[in-house]
Amino acid sequence: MRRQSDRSFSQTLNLLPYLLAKGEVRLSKAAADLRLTGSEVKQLVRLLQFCGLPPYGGADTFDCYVERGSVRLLAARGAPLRPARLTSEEALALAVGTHLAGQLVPSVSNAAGRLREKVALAAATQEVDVPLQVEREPQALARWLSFFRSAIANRSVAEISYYSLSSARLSERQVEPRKLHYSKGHWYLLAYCRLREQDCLFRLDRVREAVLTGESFLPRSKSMREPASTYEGDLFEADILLPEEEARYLGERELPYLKSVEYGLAKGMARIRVVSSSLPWIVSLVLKYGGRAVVERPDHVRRAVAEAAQEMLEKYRQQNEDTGG
Amino acid sequence: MRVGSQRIERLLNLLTFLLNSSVSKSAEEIRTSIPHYRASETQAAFKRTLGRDMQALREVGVPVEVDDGFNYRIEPKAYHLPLLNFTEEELSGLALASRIVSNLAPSLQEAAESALRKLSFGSWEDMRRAEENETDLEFQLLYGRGGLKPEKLQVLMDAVLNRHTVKVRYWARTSHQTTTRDVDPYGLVIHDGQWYLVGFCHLRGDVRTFKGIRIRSLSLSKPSQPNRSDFEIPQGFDLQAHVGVPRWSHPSFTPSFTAKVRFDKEVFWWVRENWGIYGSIEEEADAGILSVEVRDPDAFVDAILEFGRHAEVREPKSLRNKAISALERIVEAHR
Repeated sequence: MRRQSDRSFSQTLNLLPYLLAKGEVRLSKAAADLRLTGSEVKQLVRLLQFCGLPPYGGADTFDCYVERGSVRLLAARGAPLRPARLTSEEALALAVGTHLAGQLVPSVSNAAGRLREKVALAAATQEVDVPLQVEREPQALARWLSFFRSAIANRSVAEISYYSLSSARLSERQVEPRKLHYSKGHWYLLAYCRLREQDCLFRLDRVREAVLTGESFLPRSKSMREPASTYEGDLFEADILLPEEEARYLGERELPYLKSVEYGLAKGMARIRVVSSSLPWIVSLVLKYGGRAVVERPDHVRRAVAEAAQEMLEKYRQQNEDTGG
Repeated sequence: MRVGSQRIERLLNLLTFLLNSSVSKSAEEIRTSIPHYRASETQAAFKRTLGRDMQALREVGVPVEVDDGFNYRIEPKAYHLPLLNFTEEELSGLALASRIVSNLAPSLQEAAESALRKLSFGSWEDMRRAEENETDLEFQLLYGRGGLKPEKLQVLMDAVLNRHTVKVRYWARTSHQTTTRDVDPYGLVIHDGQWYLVGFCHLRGDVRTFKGIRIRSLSLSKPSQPNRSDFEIPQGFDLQAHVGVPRWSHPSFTPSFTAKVRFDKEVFWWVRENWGIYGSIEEEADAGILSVEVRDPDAFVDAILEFGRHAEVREPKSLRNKAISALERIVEAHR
């Protein structure tokens, strides 16, 4: 972290060429353009008023003042005409950012390449090759990203076919798209769902189909409620026994559904407590451990897991008979 | 005036003085020309202050040159940001870049923000518009710090950029053991909200992926030398191949075999989009069959069982039997 005075100095080095270019400018506009508050600009201007420098004689080098909400710069002998080049840290931050932006938002990937060259020019260093990668998203996603971005911009209602993990099925619903949200490996659409009648988060890779209905929507007042799951049901808890190493893997990830992990049980097992409103979701959570996970309670979850596994088993056996296997 | 503002005034004077001198200036000339330095009581105090100020100038990106005789100079061309024109698309890319790194590390966030203020010179309004336009996108790449404390991330970033071998104390989840090994860091990867290090592991003699949160401690293997690189990244090395790859298809497991799985229409389209790249697809009326190369059969069976009744292993028979025994175990355990 930089010292406050270094930050102010850095801001001054941006303010001076700005004022040189503008001559006179509204205080509020200067503040907005330079991402400062009005009082910060005032403070920097006051600072400039004190900066005199021999051998230019007794006169102040910078003649600068605030009057009736405007900033004026009358003289700035010897002042830098443009901001300083990027520091290597600044160049690295932007190289990393543009690199990741190109990976996450396919529509900017062309611009990202050009930007890295320009950032290198601005820093007077060689272009940094950033060995950094975020996980790959499926191709179809690029399509949904631009589809929903334009739906958000135009306030267009979309009809989507969505696979909800919690109900383990596809369903059709109309949504009013509000925002796109990249979180920990996945793109989500935050939208008002007309089926659930509230804001819901939809994972973009689970959108099977989306079309505009042709209707546009009026902005709704922001809901104070957290976006809901796309599935309706009461929350319940379940305790599941898992091999310790599997539990540790979950424990490393700050998962919202994971309430607690208890290590050190017999036979190298751990107990996790999960909370969910969806029975199908918990069942599939248990199934994916291939028998290494056992639901302790409640009974209705135990039964649901056994039934799901039994149904799948019968399907396998049926198929074996059909093919004479 | 407060102390901070005196310092800024002094720095600004120093910068202006050197920027406008066509020749190098000695410390003495600086002291006589800039009143603030005259106030220094002793020569030693002056030298200390001047040294700190030069450092402060360098930290905000001012290229101060100093020769053997302690004469200072700032070349205007090296100081001034060149005139760069950004297209609307590029400005929006910059705005996105800044938003994205803000989630990775506080130091990067601050640096990106100040870089943006510099680069917006001459196109302040357009930059503003670009930054406001991007508000329909939000980013959270990491859970918290993604499993790496800022100090460790900094060491790793530097090591990756300078190609320095690192000594890693690593706890392996499956073996439950902590081992120390040298790793040539090829790159950093963000997967599932967590940092991963991908590199050549000297202990295993192969490329390995290390989860950041399991790195107990970390240091450079040899004392740091800015211009020395310890290794070369093999040509054609693809970091992408190590990111977000399902465990059953991970290149560190060999050998592989072909498996066929039938998915019903509820999930088949998802499989096509997400796993299609790992194999080939045969579409049926209301379903589809995926043929893929599998490297870790147990992990693959787990992944298939997660689909519940929507998926069924077809071939090979051994894999099918694995699925059946897993299901039998599940039924048995929940009786």
